[in-house]
Amino acid sequence: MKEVGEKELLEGIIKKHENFLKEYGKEFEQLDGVKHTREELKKKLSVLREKQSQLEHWINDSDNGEKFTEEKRKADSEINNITTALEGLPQIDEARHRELKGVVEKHKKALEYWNERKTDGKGA
Amino acid sequence: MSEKLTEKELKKKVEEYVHEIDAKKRKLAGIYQKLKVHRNEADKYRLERDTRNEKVRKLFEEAKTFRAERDKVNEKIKKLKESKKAVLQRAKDRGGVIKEKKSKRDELNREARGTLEFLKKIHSENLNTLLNEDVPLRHEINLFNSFLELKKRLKRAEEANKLHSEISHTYENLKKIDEKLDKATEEVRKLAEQAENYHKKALEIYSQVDVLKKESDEQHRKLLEKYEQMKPMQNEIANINAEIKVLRELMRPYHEQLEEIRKNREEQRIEKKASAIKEKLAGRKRVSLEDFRVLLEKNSLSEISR
Repeated sequence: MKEVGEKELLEGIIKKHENFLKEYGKEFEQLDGVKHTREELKKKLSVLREKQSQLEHWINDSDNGEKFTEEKRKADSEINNITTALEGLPQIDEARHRELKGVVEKHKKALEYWNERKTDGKGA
Repeated sequence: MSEKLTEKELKKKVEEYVHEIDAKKRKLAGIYQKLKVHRNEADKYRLERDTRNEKVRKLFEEAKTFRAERDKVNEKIKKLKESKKAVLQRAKDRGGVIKEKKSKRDELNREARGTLEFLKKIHSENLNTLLNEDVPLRHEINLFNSFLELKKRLKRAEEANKLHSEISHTYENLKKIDEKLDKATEEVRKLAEQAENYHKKALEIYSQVDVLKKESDEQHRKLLEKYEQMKPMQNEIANINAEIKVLRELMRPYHEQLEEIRKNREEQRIEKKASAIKEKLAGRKRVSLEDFRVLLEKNSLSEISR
């Protein structure tokens, strides 16, 4: 049986958490990035739809509605683009996202604890 | 002896002495006859005594051999007992060491609270969990804190195992020592038996020697008794011989006188015969060889040749 010292063990634990963090963090960042982009796009789409509705109203109800037609065409096009982009984005597993978030936080906390313990010399 | 005796008287005197000497000699012969019987008996007693003494000597030699063998065996036993004592002391010392080590081992086992295999398993599992598994921090902290404790326990268990191995080794040695002791005890028993046998044989011989010595003493006593019985006879013989000597001394002058007379008579006879032969020769008669011999004895041949 290999003899493992306390310092060596602390370093091993820290390395383990760093590896976990690296492994889970990568997946989490990917998921979180997609989620963030999707939310941003959805928010933007919501604003554009409000704008599209307003422009439609102005075009139909005002005497000089034609001057808003070009603007509405631009908004429609942008809505189309964003909808296409949203459709192109992968679906987010929220549960997995939540789980990964927890896991990453847990390993960060653990890493913080073990690093502090190593620095304090408690485990030296 | 001043008186001059005639030949007849002389003869008579000599015959008287001869008769007396013969009587003494006959007496001597009788005594010698009796003495011979005694001597034969004495010889028999001496032979019996000497034969027994010779046997005793040989038996003593034999007993000496047995005694020497017994002493040799006893010396072996002594040496064997001494080495056994040393081995026993060694066994005692080892026993003490075992007791001490056992106590220490038990103490270590108490501190280890588990076998080395079990503790190794736990240690390995904990280490694996700490280094590889994704577990809650609280659990990790608990495992880490118990790591030091477990290490100590492992060390104790290892020390206990080492001591146990040493104890086992010492036990093996002790077993060998026990076997040696058993062997030595058996050897001592066999040798003691051998020594006892030699001793018994020597004792048997000594008892034979006692009997023979008693018999020899008895024969010697009889021999001395016989010598005592023979002594008066020997004295008597000595006395008679002395008497015979005295008688012979007394007889000698008479005998010498008688011889002188006989000699003179013979000389006269030869002289007479020589004269007759001379006459024969003078008359140129033939003489015999015997006649010549007579002349030679008389030394008369030169006289004739002249």
